[in-house]
Amino acid sequence: MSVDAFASWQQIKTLTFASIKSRYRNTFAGLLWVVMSPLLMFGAQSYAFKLVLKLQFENYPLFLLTGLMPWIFFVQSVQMGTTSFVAQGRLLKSFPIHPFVCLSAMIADNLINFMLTFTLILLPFLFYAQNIHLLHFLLLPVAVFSLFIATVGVTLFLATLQVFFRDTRFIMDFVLSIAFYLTPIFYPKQYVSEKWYWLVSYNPFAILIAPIQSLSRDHLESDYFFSLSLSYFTALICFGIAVLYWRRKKNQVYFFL
Amino acid sequence: MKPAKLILNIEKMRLSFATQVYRANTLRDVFVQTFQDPFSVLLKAQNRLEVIRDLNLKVYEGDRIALVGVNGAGKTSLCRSIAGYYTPTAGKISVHGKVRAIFDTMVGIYPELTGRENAGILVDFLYPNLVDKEEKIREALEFTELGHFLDTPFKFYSNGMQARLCLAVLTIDPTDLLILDEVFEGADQFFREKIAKRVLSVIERSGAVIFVSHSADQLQRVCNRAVLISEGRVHFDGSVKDTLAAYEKTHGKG
Repeated sequence: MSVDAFASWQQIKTLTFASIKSRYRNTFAGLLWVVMSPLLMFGAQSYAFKLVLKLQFENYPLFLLTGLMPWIFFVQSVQMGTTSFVAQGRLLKSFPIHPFVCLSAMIADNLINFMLTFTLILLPFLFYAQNIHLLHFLLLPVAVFSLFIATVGVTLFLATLQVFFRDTRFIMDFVLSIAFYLTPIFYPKQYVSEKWYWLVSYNPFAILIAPIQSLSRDHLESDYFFSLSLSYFTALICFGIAVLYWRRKKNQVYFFL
Repeated sequence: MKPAKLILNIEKMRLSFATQVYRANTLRDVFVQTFQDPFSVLLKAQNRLEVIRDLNLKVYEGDRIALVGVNGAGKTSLCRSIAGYYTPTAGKISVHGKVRAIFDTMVGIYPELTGRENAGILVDFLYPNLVDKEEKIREALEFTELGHFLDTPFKFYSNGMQARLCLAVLTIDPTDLLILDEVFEGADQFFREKIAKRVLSVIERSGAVIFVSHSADQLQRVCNRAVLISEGRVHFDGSVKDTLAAYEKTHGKG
């Protein structure tokens, strides 16, 4: 099956809306959960780090929000997407639906949930705080899009790997639980000592969320555009590696599904 | 007499799969093996499963080809390669026109959505440029005789009901090259006769057809040419009667 860009876009659109419809059919509670679970996570972490551990950092709740929400989106997408080829094997082998289209639609559905929740939680900050820089805010969708590209790439790679190695998902859960602590999500990167700073500098997720986290700054950072470019570079590398791996393994994937 | 248009040309096609490492293994096993015996992991010879070997086939407009062969002969792998699922390891597949391949008739894209909604999504995928889409979907849904079940989630359908819906949608519109791989398997007895007429109609209107079935009656009813595949090669190519005779001679009466 060849991938015609326009046809693929149309198919991703169709499947994304169908996926949203399918997920929330007759379940208002399902929609509520999508909004409530990140909100509760955000509330609990704000409480633990700001009020209990008393982390002294300017605009801490907003900083936490801009790191935690993208992390939740990424982890949910990876967890759902890694098993998607195996789970949908019969469908993928029966109809002319490119696995990439299926995966992108699933992640786009997650992205819409993420943006909805993120906006809902962000609204009070927009109304009551005067410390958001307009350019950071206007370029937020651009920054989020690089995260989307990277998420599609990482998930495509892992979903392909899962076809051959059925414990990929469990190993990824373990890796993600470690990565959460190694990524400056609930602590600012300035807190990391020089000796361990490479863990931030070379951490792909830290690079991807840096332009989103800029939203918590009240001034335009001097390296903002560099950080945005670096996030796109990282996203395209992730995506490129995944596409190359998929192309190399395509026959085997269909064979083993 | 004007020569028939060439729709499919397969030249010296080979298809093989690497079968090492996978499936029985986990990443944990690979990790352990790499530490225990790194040389064996790195230098292990790659086992390859040869599915299709130097296969040549030309399909012209008007051909209704029956693909015949025992299980594992390479029929489905060949169909999947033509449909673009597999990339040949060597050789070339040239298709002049659009291909539509049907391998399963009991799969819903979103089982939580109703049959009607699944039919709509399926039509969007199979016929992106369909004229009178709504009308054709309505006609196909009416054909299924599923009535109020059309507004029930697809996951509650029996196998027969799933097959009815899928087959009705899959036969809405003809195409240049239609591949039907054992498509009648799920349909119930009553519907099998009804859908057979509909499938025959779409076959008549399509450019060329490749039909895979283990039913000699169906093959004789639908096809005007047959190809016997054996061990990944074209073993015989001729009329349906002669090919079935060659099949029986090669593999014995089943």
